[in-house]
Amino acid sequence: MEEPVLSGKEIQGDGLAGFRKDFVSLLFLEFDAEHIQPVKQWLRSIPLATLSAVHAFNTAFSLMRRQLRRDPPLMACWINLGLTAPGLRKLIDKAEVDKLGEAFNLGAAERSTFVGDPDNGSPGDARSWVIGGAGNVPDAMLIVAGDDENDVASEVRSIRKQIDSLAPGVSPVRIMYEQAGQTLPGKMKGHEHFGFKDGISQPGVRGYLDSPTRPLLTPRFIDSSDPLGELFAAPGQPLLWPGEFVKGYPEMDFNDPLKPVQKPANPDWIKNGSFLVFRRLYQDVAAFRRFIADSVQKLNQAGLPGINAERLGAMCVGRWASGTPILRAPLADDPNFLGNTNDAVNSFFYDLDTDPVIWNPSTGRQPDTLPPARRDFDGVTCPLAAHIRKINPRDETTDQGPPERTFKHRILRRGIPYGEVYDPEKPGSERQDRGLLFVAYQSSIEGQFEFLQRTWANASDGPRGGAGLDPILGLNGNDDPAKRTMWFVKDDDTRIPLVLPERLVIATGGAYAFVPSISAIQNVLSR
Amino acid sequence: MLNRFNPPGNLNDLKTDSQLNGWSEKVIHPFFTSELASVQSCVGAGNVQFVDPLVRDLGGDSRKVSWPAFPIALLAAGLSREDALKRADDPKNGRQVQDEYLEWFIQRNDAGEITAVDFTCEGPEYWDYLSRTLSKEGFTEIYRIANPQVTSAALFDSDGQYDPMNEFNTTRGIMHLIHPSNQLGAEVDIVAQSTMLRDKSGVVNCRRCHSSNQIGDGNRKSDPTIATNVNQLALDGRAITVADPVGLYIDGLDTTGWTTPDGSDPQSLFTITRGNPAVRARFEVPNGKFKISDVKIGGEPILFAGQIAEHVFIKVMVIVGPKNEFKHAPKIPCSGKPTHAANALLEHSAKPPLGRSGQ
Repeated sequence: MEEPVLSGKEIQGDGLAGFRKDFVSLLFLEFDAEHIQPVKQWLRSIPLATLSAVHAFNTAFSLMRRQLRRDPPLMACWINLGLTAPGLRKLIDKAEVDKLGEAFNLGAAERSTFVGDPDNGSPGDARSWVIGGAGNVPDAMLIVAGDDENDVASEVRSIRKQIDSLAPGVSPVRIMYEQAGQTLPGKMKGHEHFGFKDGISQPGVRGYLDSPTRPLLTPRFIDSSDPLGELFAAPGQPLLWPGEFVKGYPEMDFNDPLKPVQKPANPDWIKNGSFLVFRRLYQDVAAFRRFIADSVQKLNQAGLPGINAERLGAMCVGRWASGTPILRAPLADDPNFLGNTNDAVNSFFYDLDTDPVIWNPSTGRQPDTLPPARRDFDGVTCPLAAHIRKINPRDETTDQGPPERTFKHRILRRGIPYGEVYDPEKPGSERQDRGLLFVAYQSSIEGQFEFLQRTWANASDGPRGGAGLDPILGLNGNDDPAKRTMWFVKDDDTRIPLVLPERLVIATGGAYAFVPSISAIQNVLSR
Repeated sequence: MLNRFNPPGNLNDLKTDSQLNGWSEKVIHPFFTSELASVQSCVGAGNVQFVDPLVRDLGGDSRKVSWPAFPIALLAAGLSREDALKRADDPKNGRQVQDEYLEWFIQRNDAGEITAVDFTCEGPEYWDYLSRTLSKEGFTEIYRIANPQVTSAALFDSDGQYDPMNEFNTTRGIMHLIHPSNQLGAEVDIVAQSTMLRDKSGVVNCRRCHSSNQIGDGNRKSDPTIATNVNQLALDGRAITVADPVGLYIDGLDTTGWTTPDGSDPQSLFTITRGNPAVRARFEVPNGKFKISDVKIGGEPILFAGQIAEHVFIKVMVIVGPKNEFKHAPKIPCSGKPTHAANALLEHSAKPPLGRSGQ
């Protein structure tokens, strides 16, 4: 099966390769339609990080880290650019922008109630968003990301300076909002604010880069002698056709993950571009902890005596705080998974017992001898509503049909936390703003992000009848308590309901952007 | 213990014991008995996990299998969403592609705008039985929900046979499902055949035991979802049956993020018009206060009935017994082609344990 060649110098790098930096600054920009030529001139001058550059860096970084057994002293600071529908309409003909689809053109605020945000003035209502809501929809979004906080700050200063000097006496580009994000410090590194390790499971992408060595974008760790190797690059990492994330490449046939379907990019200039969904998600950590503590008592009284706070958290998320999947450590976290570099944390299915994979010998990986995941169709170990089970049902047949159809809904997540770690000992910490800067790449906003949020996370019957609401991400519009239930199932089929609190996670900003190719910016959007 | 199968949606069109018994004994029960015979011939007595609810009461542990009702086959065929919506609504071929156990009929005004949509998930078997059981007048009267202008002459042919493809169930209205795959018998068949364990869990595309016919249609959401969920329940050694009343049901319309121009609740536009559980519903703006195209779904105006169908859920209820009742049911060779993921997963899990590759 031939995999496509990806234009490494055309595609911006954060989507397919991922910046994976500790420090990020998101700049939300407004263009002055009356002075659009200086805007275009400036857009042409932004040094955008390409897929080739980011992939080469990440590959070298991973290699060195394996050799050094610590993070190598490699540093970079990168920029990517996304344009919203209003921004594109200032740059090119509206009819061209209309072709990018209804959801993109309507924008994140207009679509917010569709994905479950309230519209009754309560927290999360798009009219109160700090950015992207009514009256403050940005035209563009710059992602500045680096390994060093000072580099990011210096790059942002430099951007501000360029913007200020674009045209005498006017400000063609205005920074509407700046949002810093950073990986959390100390033991929380790699975790989100509720305390759980984040970003573990990402899809793989088929295809080679067009650089001289023609490296595979996603390295293949599973040996071809293992039947799983045809579909997965590593345990839990399905191989998707690049058209699921970048326009102009083959997508997956609805019924056959091995069959590419080529769809032409329309309009032509969107080739090598992706859609980006940004959601600024406030996390109420104190409320989450209260919910866990209160619910432990309720569940203990309701006939689940073995559940403590840590295990309830793991049952809500599907993983222990460390990232260990609950299916591989059902009753307590197993420290052996921590630091295991073998993908053991991502090797599990729900409907079948999961056996270890056969590694490709060249990877040097050791056999996975940690306790395997056992079949859990009923959700006794990992509730059907657990966050990671709702949005990535793996081998489950869903309301869309066979398991491979779930591949069509995967996204590339590039989120990073913002705000300080919650400290219950510190006065005022509860009221501080903190959360996740959710960034996801895809080729269809409707079919990917919106589908996952609305059809699976928010729906009591998605992806399977009777699943219940996702306790972490499930949104329910103006909050009908009757629809805010998850279920705990005992081995004897007893089902114990748990009514979930309102909005532990609240959207406080958002944007739908298109991340164009380098040549589209140079030759189409800025001409 | 159930003493007879009730009409779909507990409808009260059948009034007498004799009529009700006829529905149970002549239509629904034979589905169960023929499936039981088929399953038993494949797995042997003592291993039949499919249950006749008139013979054995499994209790009240019900499981819902549900799916959104817009046909995925159109998207799988490579159509864009807009083209799929157009195709599904097109009266020339519309109902030939409405294959997720929900079909609809659109009423339009002179300007071609949608003024009402009737949705149904009533199986054709029920209407065939009514036509043979009720007086023509009584039958016609019930049919008037499809269109007040219905006449007996339009429903029956010259031999007095009911014509399911009559104009009031095709071009001038809708009364029940007509897509060849949308049948109650198909539902019972998929559930029954899926209670047999397979040597590959690709039950979705498996052939029926002793037959070259496929279990359902893998190119839909409904059939694979029903088949695999039932097969997974069977894998736990459970006895399984279809809940009474046997039928496909409308499980509701998800209107999260829908807006109306006057701020009224969009749920108020969707009225269940037959059955409990629901088998028929109408989407309409009361008193023409505004147009259907003024209703927006996530900001998109409703221009196609398929946009509504995207958010209508259809369900099947199955009843299960406790785990591990059946421990020795044989696995039937799967003569069909499992889905790729099922195949890879199963072959992977069937591979020799660690060490084969010398790791």
